[in-house]
Amino acid sequence: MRKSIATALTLAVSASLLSACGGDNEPSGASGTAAGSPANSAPVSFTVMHNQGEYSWPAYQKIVDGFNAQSGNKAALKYIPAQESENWLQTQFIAASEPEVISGTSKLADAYKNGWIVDILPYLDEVSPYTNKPWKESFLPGLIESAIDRSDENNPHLYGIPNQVVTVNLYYNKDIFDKIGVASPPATITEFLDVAKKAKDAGYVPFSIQNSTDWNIGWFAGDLFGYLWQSRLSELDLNQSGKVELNEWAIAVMEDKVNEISPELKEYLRFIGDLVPYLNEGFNSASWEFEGIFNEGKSAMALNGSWYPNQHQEGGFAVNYGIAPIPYLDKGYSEYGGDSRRKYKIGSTPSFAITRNAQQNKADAASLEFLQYMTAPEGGAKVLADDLNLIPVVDGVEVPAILQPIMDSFGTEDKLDFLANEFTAEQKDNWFKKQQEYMAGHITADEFLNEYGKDLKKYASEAIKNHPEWNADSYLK
Amino acid sequence: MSKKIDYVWLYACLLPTFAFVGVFLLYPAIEAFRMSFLDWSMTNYLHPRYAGLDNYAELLKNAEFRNSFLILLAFMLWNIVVLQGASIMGAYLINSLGQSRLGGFFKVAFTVPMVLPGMVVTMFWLFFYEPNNGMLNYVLGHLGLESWQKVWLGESQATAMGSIMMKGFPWVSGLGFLIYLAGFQNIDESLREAARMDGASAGKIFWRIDLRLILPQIRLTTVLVLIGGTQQFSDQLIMTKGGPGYSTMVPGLYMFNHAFTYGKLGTGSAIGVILFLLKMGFTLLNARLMRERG
Amino acid sequence: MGSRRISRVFVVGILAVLLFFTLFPMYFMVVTAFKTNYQLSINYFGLPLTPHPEFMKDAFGKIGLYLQNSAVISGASVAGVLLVSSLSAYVFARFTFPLKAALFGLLLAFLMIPGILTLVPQFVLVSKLHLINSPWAAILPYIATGQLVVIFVFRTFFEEIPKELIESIRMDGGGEPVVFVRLVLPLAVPIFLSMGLVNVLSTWNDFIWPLLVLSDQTKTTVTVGLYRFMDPQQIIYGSVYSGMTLASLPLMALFAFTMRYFVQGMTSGAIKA
Repeated sequence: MRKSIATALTLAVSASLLSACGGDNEPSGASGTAAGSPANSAPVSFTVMHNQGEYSWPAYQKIVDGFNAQSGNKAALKYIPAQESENWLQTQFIAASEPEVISGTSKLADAYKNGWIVDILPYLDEVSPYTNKPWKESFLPGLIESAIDRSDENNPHLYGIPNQVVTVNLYYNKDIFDKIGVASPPATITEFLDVAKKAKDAGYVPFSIQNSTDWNIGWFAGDLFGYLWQSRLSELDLNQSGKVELNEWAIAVMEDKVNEISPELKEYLRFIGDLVPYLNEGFNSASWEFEGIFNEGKSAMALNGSWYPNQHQEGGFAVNYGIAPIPYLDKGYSEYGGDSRRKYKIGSTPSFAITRNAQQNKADAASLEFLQYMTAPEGGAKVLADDLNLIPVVDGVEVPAILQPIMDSFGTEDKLDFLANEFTAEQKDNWFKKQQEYMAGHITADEFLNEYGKDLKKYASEAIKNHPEWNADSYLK
Repeated sequence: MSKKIDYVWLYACLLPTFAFVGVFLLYPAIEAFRMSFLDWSMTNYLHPRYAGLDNYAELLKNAEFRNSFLILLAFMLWNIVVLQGASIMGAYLINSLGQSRLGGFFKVAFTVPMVLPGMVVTMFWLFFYEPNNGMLNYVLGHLGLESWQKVWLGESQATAMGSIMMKGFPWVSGLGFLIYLAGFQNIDESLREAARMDGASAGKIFWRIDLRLILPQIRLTTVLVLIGGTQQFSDQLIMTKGGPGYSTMVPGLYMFNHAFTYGKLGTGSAIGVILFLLKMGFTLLNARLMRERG
Repeated sequence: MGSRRISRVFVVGILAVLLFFTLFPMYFMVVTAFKTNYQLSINYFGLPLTPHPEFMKDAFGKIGLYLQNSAVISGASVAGVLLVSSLSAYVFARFTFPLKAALFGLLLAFLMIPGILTLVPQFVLVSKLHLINSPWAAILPYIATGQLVVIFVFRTFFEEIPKELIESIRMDGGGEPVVFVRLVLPLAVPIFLSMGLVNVLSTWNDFIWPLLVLSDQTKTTVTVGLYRFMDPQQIIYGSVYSGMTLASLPLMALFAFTMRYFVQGMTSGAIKA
């Protein structure tokens, strides 16, 4: 459940990674046979793979049942645990045994390049049988646009359909805050460290995280880097898109604009170093039990996704919590800081995709229809919002009240993501593991950055080599 | 036995064996070598590129990869010295009970846990080290040793490696135990009796006679550890995922990560080839030692 | 004499302590299977005062299918290994034919190939054969690797069957198949059992391969199934330990009656290898 959404979120945090990985010109897309009107053909059987935990199964079953009843098809769910779904999908793709509809991977762009999934973009203009309007008109303004990969300007792609808006927020224990005399949640990093110190002095765990995966520090980092790199935007953003895409990061690395001596990275590590004393013991091997620490009222603050309120309700936890935006990097803490919290555009990442097997098994039309149903205001979107408290991706579905404050934090700015530490899966894992060692005090910040810089160009050129459509050479003269 | 035999039938009987070997061992082995020369990953799955020795060069340059062999060496040395020592001691003690009923009981009792599924054992030890509710920290807490409590599998290289090494304590039950017990039982009791007559102490008899006579068994199990140990990584995968950082990363897990997590099939195969060469080295070394001893 | 008795008491004492630690995980597994998380926290090591059998039922609901899958895979692999290797071992033991030494040497060479070398390409191969998530994805490679040691053990065994016995059957007009079925197989039952049990254990315990090729929740083996029991979000220890207990039972039951053969198999296999 959370894990899976967390995976999705890690992606959300690095949204432009996806949007920057281009597909090549391999024709792997659907053959135009997709999308018919419901119930006018023989029932099609196909499988929908998801990695959402047990508590969400009834809701997903409800969606599948509703779809089967309305379309006359026979969709069935298949569950793969979130911590395995990435590896699982890769092996299934190689084996050509993947289900017709899949979710739970960050590597959709690669999968598309390998001909394993279908480009959905051409079907957005078609009329959805569940709304009788073009499908794309269902979505919240700008949302589907954020999920489209435009790194190859002439060949945009959409690898999958988002089914929820995921955000990360600061959750804080109101009772602890009362006891330590903090009236309102910390809005800035300065305030955050101040509150953390008070909580520590009072004997609480100030901030509980899990660092056996990069899901917590990675979320924090995603927000911090948005501020840290902001002043470099015009220099790095070659295509003037307002964001720095993966190809632009690769070029920046090759031109030595980003490297191990970048002050932005030093500043980032300074904050992580300041944060360490306030973490739960054993954070490096902690998994979701960090949430247990918060649920049991032992920790004052934690980062978590927008799914947490639902977890809290379902689990009947006693903790009296509040939600606030992640504290932003302020001028008082860092010269790179801002004066106020930036308000980012609402956005999401592709999640559910249609695979090559859907085409092979002649289930692509039915699979597409399933995605349309999942995002139909009267269909799946409503179930996801009502039963799972997810923020809907479409108009016409009421946002769960508890999440309204999160909705209000959206604005019109583009988020700047730091991607020069995830050119390849190996580099990403390496960064994470070295960060673990840094946080455990085994290596210094400089050693960490030297380590990072050592293979940086290698990884960047690997990415450039694998993406000829970037035309990186033309920039690198 | 020179009956007139239709060779066709003989080869037909051998066919299944060689068909299996050919398809599931020989072909993949050749493929492994071929793939190890390719730049082949999930980002260019459809268009693998010939990369010569690049994969190998990259690996040898990689400090984490080189270091993983030191970590593996530490695990293997531990297995050879401590685990073998424990099974030798267990087998020796049981053998010293002779053919008595008690000896038979201990023999069976130490054999029973061998048939526990490996995953069950690993899960027990995972729970043993679990920081919040785990057994080790629980016991330490109740002994008033809160300050000794640790996140055993995540704190540092020392605690993580130590924890994996201590898994399975007291290590008596196992294949080595069976081999040594058989070895001790084969020793002629009159040898020990004669030494006893000469006034040798039990310790001396153990060093001079028992241990010396089971040297072939010790060599056998050592070779088994050396040869088998190069490719073990499931404990690390399940218990620490190679962490914290790279502190428990062994080459086998490094290969698994490359092939199935990073999606780099070429590099993964190259690691497989390197481990194959290592195992081959151990095997040839063993064969050579064997020949020298006659 | 007195000192020997003392040393005997000493030996038994040490062994008893070692045995305690060796068997303790099994004890802990079984008692914890019947405890709620709360009971575990207040009564960590003791017997559950009010046992909760519902965890067993819950765990069986999940693990029953895995056990079935494992039984099919281990059973078929062992049957295949015994069939294939007895055929070729018999041929190698009884007959001379061109290329005999070379072919046997080739098998010997394959013992040296580590599973880790072939892991990736074997996976690609099994994928291309469209066997992923089919029990054959495990069974066929298990037969291929499992047979090697068994062939060596069987060959030695078959060579030791007195030639006079074989001749006497042939005198009565029995052909090779008759010799094999009527004479060799009955004699070989114990060694079949030994090698079979060793292979049951190794296939049952395999983790990495089924994790890759049998990753479907409904197709996977008990080893991988147990691994997935460890959902770190809210561990219900009673349920986890019930799963562990149930996963151990089939092997325990099987080996309770065949321990002698198993021990034989383990040692002879190791020496051959």
